[in-house]
Amino acid sequence: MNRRALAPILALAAMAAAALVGTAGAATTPFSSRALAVSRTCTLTGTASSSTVAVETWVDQNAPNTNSGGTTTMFVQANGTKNRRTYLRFDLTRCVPAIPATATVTEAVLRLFMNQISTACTTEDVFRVTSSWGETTITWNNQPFGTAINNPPTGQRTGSIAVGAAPCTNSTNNVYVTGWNVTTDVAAFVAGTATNYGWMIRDDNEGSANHNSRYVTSEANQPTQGPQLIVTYDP
Amino acid sequence: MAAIALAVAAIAITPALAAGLGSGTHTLGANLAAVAPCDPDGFSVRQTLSGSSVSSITVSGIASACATGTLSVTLNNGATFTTASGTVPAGGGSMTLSLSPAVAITDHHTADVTITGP
Repeated sequence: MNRRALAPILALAAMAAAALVGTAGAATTPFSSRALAVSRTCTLTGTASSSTVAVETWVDQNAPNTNSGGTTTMFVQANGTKNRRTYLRFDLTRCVPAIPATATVTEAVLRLFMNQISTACTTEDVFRVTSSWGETTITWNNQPFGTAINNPPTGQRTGSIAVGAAPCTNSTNNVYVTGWNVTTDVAAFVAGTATNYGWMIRDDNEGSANHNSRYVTSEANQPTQGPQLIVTYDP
Repeated sequence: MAAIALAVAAIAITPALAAGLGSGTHTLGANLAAVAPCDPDGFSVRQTLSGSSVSSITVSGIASACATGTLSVTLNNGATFTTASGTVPAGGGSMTLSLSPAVAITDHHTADVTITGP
């Protein structure tokens, strides 16, 4: 290619470079004295029975081979040998835009809408599930954590909340509870260091006197009462 | 050859600028001064429901260093895109911003929170 043929390309490239440098200067100047804080929150809600964003169910020690995947409510209960646990999982890939694997998860909260409150204050623990389960197949007898009560032990919980009659922290019926902090679990899911099999919620003292909380599932088709996972992260 | 070298240089500058302005790094000032964020540990975001929609957003855990900055919230459910903003009060803390129009609850929605300034 001779010098004459190169001339238009040279001019065009010079203009492009000049424009880019100009953009850099213009973009920098207004912000150079400002501090910026940014976060993004993805809220996943099990709004309808047809939704695959959230799957949830409960298992019942008193009906150990029964699957309750289609029910509109689910339970966390301590009551002698009639304990109940809730299992749920959210599809984090449904966040739009997708949460980058390199994102820093600053907070993740799991919220459920309570429509029957325990008459006494109790602690409900959330545990990260470490093996697979199915919404329409799980029972008390085949659940990932086995049938022994108070297993896994409290020390392995990811978070907990207090639920029940006043002065308990969550003492109001027909509202979302404050929620379980599951930040460490979601951070591991996002980073790919743990597989997302969801969570199990049980009473902190299974086998004790009756504590019974009832929560709304996706199958209730109540968009404003569906299970929620609220993930806040630095993009 | 000079043209080719210049073109390559121009292309190389482009991603550098984009990276310098990325929010993920919490710094601004491409190729000049990097500025620390006023709240490096993030916020808590909660939504208030009205009927079947999100009518307001409460942002808490705002650092006092963000006081007098502008808090902006954008809520997007894929169909509705609503933005609200306000000035961070002295001491930081928490702020509630009303959304108009309210954003219907769907199976997923995204809230972007930014504070610029002070």
